[in-house]
Amino acid sequence: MRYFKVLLTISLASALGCTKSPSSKTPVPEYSKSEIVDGQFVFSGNEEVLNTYIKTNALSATVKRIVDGENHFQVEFKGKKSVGQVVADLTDQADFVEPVYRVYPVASFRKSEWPSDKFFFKQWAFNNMGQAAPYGLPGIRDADAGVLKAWEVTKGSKDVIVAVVDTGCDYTHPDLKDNIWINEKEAVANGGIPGIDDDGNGYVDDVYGYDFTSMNRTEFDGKMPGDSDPLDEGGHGTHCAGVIGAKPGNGMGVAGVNWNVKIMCVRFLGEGGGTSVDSYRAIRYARQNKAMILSNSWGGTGTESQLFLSEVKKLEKEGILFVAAAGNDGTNNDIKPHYPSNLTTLEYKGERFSNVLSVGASDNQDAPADFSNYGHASVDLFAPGVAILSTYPVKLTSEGRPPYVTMSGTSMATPYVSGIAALLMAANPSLRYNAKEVIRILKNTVDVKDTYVGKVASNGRINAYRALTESQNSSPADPIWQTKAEVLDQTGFKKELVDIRREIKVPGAKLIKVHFDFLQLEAPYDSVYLYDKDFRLISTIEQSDEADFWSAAVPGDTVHVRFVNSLVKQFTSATMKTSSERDCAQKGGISVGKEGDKVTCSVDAEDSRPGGDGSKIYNTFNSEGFRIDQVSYVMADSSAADRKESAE
Amino acid sequence: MSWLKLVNPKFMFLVASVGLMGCTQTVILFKPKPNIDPMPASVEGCPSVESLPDPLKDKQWNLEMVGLTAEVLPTPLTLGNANVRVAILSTGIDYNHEDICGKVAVNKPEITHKAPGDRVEVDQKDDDGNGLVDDVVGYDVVDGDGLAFDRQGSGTAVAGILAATRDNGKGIAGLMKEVTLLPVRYIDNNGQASVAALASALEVAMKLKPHVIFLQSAQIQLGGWGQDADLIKSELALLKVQFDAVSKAKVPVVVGAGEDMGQFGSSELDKLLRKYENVIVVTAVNKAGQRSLLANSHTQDVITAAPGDGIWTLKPGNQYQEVYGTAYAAAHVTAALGLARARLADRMDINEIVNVLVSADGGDSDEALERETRGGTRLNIAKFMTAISNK
Repeated sequence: MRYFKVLLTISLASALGCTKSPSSKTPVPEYSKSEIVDGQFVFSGNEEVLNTYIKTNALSATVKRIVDGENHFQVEFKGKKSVGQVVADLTDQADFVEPVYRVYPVASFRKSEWPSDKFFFKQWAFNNMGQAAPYGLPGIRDADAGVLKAWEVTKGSKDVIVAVVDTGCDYTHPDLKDNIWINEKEAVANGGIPGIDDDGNGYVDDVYGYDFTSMNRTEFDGKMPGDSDPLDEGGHGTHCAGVIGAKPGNGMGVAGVNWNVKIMCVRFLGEGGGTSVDSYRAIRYARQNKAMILSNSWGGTGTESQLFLSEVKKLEKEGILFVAAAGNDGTNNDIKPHYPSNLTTLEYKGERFSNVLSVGASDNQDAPADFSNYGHASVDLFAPGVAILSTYPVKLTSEGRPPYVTMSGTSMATPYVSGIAALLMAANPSLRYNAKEVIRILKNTVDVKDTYVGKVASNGRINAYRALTESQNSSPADPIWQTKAEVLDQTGFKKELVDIRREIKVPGAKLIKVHFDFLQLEAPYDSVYLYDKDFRLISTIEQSDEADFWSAAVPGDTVHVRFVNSLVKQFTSATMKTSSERDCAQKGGISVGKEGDKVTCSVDAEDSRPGGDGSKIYNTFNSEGFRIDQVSYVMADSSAADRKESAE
Repeated sequence: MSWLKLVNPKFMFLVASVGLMGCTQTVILFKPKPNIDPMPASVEGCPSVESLPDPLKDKQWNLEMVGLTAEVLPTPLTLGNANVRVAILSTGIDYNHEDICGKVAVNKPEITHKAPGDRVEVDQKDDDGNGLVDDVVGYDVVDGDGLAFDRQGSGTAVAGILAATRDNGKGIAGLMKEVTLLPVRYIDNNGQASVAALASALEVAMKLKPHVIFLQSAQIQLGGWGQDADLIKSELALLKVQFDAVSKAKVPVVVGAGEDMGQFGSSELDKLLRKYENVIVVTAVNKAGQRSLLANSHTQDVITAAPGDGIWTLKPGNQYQEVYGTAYAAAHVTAALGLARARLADRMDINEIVNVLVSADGGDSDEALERETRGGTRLNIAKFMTAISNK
C-alpha cells in the first residue's frame, strides 16, 4: 500500500506540472492521447546524442532508422518520461524531435461499409461525421451511438425478441416487416385457424402481438379486453420499432440498430393514452411470449401501480430487461419522479429493481436535449433522441411521400438503448435474460462528456461499439463522498419577485451534492435551481415541501443555488359561456375549460368591471425558501488516485 | 373537465353575462427563467491589453487562404468599421467571451448602468422605440428576451471568425478589425429551429438595422409528421414575406450551402432561398482548397467557396474550438461583405459584389471548384477588396 502511495504522489505531481527538469529550458509540450502514439518519438540528428540520452535516462528503448541513408530515427521507449518531456529535453540537441502523430482519414468514414438505405446519411446516431441531421444544425464528429462500428462485431440475431410496448406498430411497413416477430403457430400460413387460440397462450390470433387498449373502445368480446391486432394508429410505436430494427441494407428508407431481430408489437396506448391496467396486461403478454427486452417509450407521473410493479418484479425474476424513457419535461427525476423510468430507484416490498434502465435524450452535438429529464440517481444514461429519422405508418403518410418522419424525445432514445441491448444479446447469448449484467455493461461503456456529467448516473452517452468490445471491464469504484457542514439559510421570503443567487464552494472538489434540511416551495410559483460554476443548469426543484434530501450531483467545485418566486396576480374569477376557445381568448379569458361542445371561459370579474385596471398584484404567499446544512463532495484527485492505483 | 391556461395578460373585455362568482384564482404574471443569460460585461469597458501575438494564429490556415497573409492583415484593407452592423442569425453569441469584447452591440438606451460596478438593469419597456422590449444584446427569439446568449457554440464560432480581437495575446485573430455584431438567437440549444422562429428572427433582424445578415442554416422540418403539402405551402409563404422584406431593403444574406454531401437546392427552404439575388450561398473548402467532403455544392446557386473545414475559433466560456461546416465558410464571406460595406458605404451593390466574387479578379479560380460554385472561384478577401475598390 505504501508503495502505491509513493508512486501516486510522484505521478500526480508531474501531472500537475510541479516537477521541473533541471537540464531543460524548453517548455514541455502537452499532447493529448488521441493526437500522438504514446511511448514513441521521432529523432532526427546525431545518433550518438540519442543513444547517450537513452542511456543517461535509463529508458528501455528500441531505435529504428526510418529510411536508409537519412538520420531519422523512430524510438519506442518505456520509462518515467513522457513523450513531451523527451521532446523538450532533446530539442536543443537534435535537428528536430517530435512525437509520432496519429492521422485520420479526412472524413471519419468507418472501415465498416455503409448500408444501402436511402436515408442512412441522415441517421447521425449511427455514424456522426458532422453531416446535417434531418433537421437542425449539422452535428459534430463522433457524437453518435457508435452503431455502424458495432456492426463490425454483430448485426443482431433473429433469436433476440424485443417487445415495443407502445401504440403498436405498422407491421406491414416495407422497411419493418422482415424484422417483425410472428407467432408462428397462429399464422395462417402455418396452418393457424382464425378465431382459434392455436398455440394455447390465452390470446386468440395473436399473430403479430396484441392490442390491450381499453380506452375509447366500443366493442368488447367478453373475457379479454382488446383484440389481436396491434396495428399502429398513432405513429409513435412504429417510429420506435424502426429505430430497433428497420431493415438495414435493403436500399430503402432507414436503417435500424439491428439487421436481424424480432420486434414484438404490443399495443396498449390508444388515442388518449392508456391505463396502468392496460400496461400491466401488455408487459405480462411480452413476458409470457418470451420477449428479452421491453422497450417502454411512455410514462406519466403516477404509474406507481402495485399491479404494474408486481409484474415488473416478475420480469426481473426472469432477467428480462425493462428499458424506459426518462420523460420529456426537462425536469429532474430525482426530485419529481417520472414512471415507469423511476423504477430504477423505487423499492417494491423492500427490494430495488435490478432490471430497469432509464434513458435520457442527447443531440448530435453531444449535449443533453433541453426537454430531456435527467437525474444523477434515477436516470442511467443518455442516448440519441433529437432529430431522429425513422419509420412511420404508411397509412398516416401523405400520398407520394416516403413513410418516414423525424421525431425528438426520450421516446426515441429508448429504442436506441433497447436495440443496442439486443445487439449485446445477439453477440453473447449468455446475456439473454440477464438484465442486470446488460445494464452493468451499458452503463460502464458510455462515452463520458462534460455536458453529461452530473445529469445521469453513468455521466455519459451510450456507445454500442464500446459496449460490445469492452464488456469485460469491471465497474469503476464508486467515488468516495466526504461530508462537511455548510449552512446556507434562505428562508422566509415575503417580498414579491425574489431572485437570489448564492454560491457554495468546496475547493478541489470534483462533484458536490448539497443537503437541504428544509425546503418549502409552492408549485408553480417558487423554484430552486442549482447550477455548476458556469451557470449550466444541473437541477430544478419546483415541487417540494419535504425536508431532508440530497440534491443532484453538481460537477466542479462550485454550486450556485438560486431561489426564485414569481410575480402573481390573485383575483376573483367569473365564468361565462363562450362559443369557442378562441372567443374566450379574445374576451380576455384567463383559462378555458372544455367539456364536449361546451366551452366555459374564466375571466377576472373585478378587473372586468368598468374602471378595473388590473393592478391587484400580490406577492407569492408561503415562499418559505430553503436551508442547506451540509454538503457532500468528491475530491478531484481522490478518484484519479483510485484509477492510478488500479492501473498499477 | 380539463382546464387550459391561456396566455393573455390584458383583460380588456367588459363581462356582460357573469356566471359563477367568487372563485379565487391566481395567475403568474412573471417568473424568472431557469436559464441565466448574463448581462453584457462590456458595459464596464474592455480591459486594455498589451499588444501580443494571438497564440492560435499559426493554426489559422484560413487567413492565408483568403489572402490575409501576415503582411496584408495589418493593412487598412481589413480594418472594417465599427459602424458596420452585421446580424448573426444563429444560436446567439457568448458576448462575454474575452476575445470579442466590445464587438457585440450593447443597446445602451435599453439599460441603466450608472457607474462602474453598478448592476445593469432593464425596465420591461421599449426605450429606444425599435419595436423590441429590452433588446440589450441583439434579440433571442427562442426565449423571447433581449439577451441573445449562446449556450450551443455555433453562433460564438461565427462571431470569432468575423471579429476576434487581434494581437491581444488571446486565442485567434478575426477577419475584421472593427465591426459591430448583432446576435439574433433562433436556434435552440439542441440545434433545432422552427419556421416561426426563423421568420421572427428575420423580422427582428431587420429592426436591428443590419448592413449584412449572416444566416446559420439549420434545416427545418416543414409540413409536420404527415408532411402535409398545404401546410408546407403556408409555412413557406410565411418565410417568403420576411425574405421579401430583406430583399427589398437590399440587405445581403450570407448562408452556408449545408452538409448533405450533395447538391444545394434539395430542400424546400433551399428552393426558396435560390430565388433571391441578395442571398449569397457559400460552400466550404478544406486546407487543400478542395470542397470539403460533406459540403453541398451547385454550379449556379452556390456563389463561391471559403474555408470551412477545421477552422479555429471561439467557444463559449472563454474557450476555443475547431469547427467544421459551410456556415463557417459563409462567415468568411460575411466578413468580406462587411469589409466591403466599410469601404463603399451606400455605394455597395449586391449584384456587383456577386459579380466580383464569381470572377477571377475577386477570387482564386480553381479547376477543382469549377463544378462546385458558380464561377469556380474561392474567396480571396485581399483580391476582392482591391477589385471592389477599383470599381
